Amino acid sequence: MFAPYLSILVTLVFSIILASILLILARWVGWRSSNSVKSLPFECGNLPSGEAQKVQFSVKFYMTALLFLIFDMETLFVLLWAAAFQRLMELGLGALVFWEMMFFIGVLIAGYIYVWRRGGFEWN
Amino acid sequence: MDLFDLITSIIKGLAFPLIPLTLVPVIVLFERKIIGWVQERPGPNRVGPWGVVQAVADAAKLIFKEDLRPAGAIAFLHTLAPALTIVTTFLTLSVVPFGPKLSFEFDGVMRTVSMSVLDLNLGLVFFLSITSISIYGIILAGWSSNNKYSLLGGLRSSAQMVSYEINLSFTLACVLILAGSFDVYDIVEAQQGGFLNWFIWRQPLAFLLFFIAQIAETNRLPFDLPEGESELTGGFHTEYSGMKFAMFFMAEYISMFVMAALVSVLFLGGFQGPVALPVSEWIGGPAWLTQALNALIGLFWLIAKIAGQIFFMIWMRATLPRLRYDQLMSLGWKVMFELATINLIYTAAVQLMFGSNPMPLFTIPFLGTISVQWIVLFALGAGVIAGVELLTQAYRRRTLNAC
Amino acid sequence: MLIFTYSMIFAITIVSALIVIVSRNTFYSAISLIVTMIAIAGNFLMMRAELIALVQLLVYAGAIMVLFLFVIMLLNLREEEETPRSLMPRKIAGLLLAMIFIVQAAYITLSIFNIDSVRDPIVLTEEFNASQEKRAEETGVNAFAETLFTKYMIPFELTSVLLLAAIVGAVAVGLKEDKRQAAPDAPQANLQ
Repeated sequence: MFAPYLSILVTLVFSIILASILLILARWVGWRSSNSVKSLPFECGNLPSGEAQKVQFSVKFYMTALLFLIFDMETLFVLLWAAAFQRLMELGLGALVFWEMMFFIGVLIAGYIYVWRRGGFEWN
Repeated sequence: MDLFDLITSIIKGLAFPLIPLTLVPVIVLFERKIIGWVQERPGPNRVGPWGVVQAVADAAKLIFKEDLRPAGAIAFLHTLAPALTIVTTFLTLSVVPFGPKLSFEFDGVMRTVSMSVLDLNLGLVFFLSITSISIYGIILAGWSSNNKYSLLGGLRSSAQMVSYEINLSFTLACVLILAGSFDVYDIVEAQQGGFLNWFIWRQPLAFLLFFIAQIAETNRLPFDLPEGESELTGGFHTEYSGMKFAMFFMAEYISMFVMAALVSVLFLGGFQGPVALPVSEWIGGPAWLTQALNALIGLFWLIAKIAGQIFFMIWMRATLPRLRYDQLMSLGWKVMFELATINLIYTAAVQLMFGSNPMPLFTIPFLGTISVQWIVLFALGAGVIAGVELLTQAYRRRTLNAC
Repeated sequence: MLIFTYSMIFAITIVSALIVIVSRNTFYSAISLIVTMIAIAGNFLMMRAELIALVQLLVYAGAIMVLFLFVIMLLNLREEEETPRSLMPRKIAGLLLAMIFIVQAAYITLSIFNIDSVRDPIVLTEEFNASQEKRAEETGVNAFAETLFTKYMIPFELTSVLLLAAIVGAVAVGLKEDKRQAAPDAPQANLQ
């Protein structure tokens, strides 16, 4: 029943073993010497100022992730529609499904234009 | 699930990941040599004749390098990130078909085996899902390093990958309309019969967009903003050294290989040669010999197409300057998304009006079916070149007058 | 073998989900939520709903969790802060939800497997496998698309409106400071 997935399981196990071997090599083969200056986070030679994880960054990244989520949902429907389009045409549903998707994309394009006009894609 | 499935699964699952793994040093040498030639220097030429052993020397060096971890880094996540990156990269490889399906007689029954790790009719959806998961390796690397450059590099990289993934899926949809399936074998089969049936002729714009989006997905130049040395030193892998850095490096080259293979499958006929030659029929012999020969020819063509694309990517890296981050984002969200949507609607409309058969209207004698897209694309290209030329001339004239 | 795989996936799902709520570090919570999402995809796969499993990976594990991580990074939530407010209302609400969940789960379980008559587990497994095979056919891409674009046409179109609302909401939240930025520019223009 799950025969097709057996090979992907083998690849998964293979890659996990490979990654572990490389990590073990990294841990045991290379020599280590550590002191407090050497283990400072790299900041072009300066002493690091403040904690890195407390850095504030642009809200644009959040916007991008949110827009990606929305358009990813759209993409999903589009992919399904695209893969089944020939089959649906054979069933005589071609025109119906085509216009359905045009409406769907059209509504989202309205949103896309709105984001564009509000400057959602500007990174200055 | 019987013995046959078990044996073939283990062979497939182990053999196919080894192909790109063994090719990584070759690609690295290739890249360094070509960039050397482009910049009029010899490139690596000390280790072995013609620098051939350079990659091995590099690997040995990386193994013996010290494994550094900055103070304040989250140890577990810092170690997990490169492992996650390399595992997801190998999983994306599983959809690539390396040759035609083979059939064996086992236990009195004919069984077919695909030449890809994963024989699933939802192959491309699987590819997209794993690609979307592969972002976490980079986010984790950036977050766990306790370094500002890493954090910002990881964020930029993930935002960039996320933005171009939409373009990737949208252009993929155009090919799916033509092929009518998520299965990579169906897509290759739809391009049978010589290079004129390849989808690149029917979908030139999608090819262009997909190629650009895949370069951005693999974070290669000119889209390697996350590791732009002048701004962010090493980006998300600033704090990685030795073998852990090598793992990110390997993952990048393997994903280059996978993406090039996918472009070949989607637009360049996959493992099929440019001209359908029945070589194995000429040689004859038993059935297994024919099959083995076909498989080898398939592998040869796929690798040849991948090599050509990787050469092109290296050429681009050597030639083009890096984009600014705002340029990159506006290219992805404004230009490419728009073009991809228009192309999708166009493809669906043509499919609806003319069906799968090539349109008689756009058939050119001796050249086969040339899509009207090519004409539009050429016209646009000519228009852009002419426009730039006119503008520069006008600019020159103005600066001359000002003097 | 199959039972072992099922149990593994169930165990991973439940354990990682528990880590999400138990962990004090928000980032670790988010990461174990990713693991939960992937494990849920595994559950769908075991039910032979391949498409749904992959969609689960693509949307939940791929897109939604990226958003979560971005938000966590944006707000610099490392350690969960102690809430001074009383937790009593939340505890009551949680208890209520848990009870509803248990009743639903019990109802579904009892309605599928007829507990009254003790049956041979092998026959039961075979029946289950047969129904799974049938479901795998029903959830193929073409069948799925056919149902989605004909029977569920109106919900599908309404999804686009929902997504549009989400876009507008995202812009409203994310681009709030736009006006404030625009204001200082105006006097500069006047100066010239």
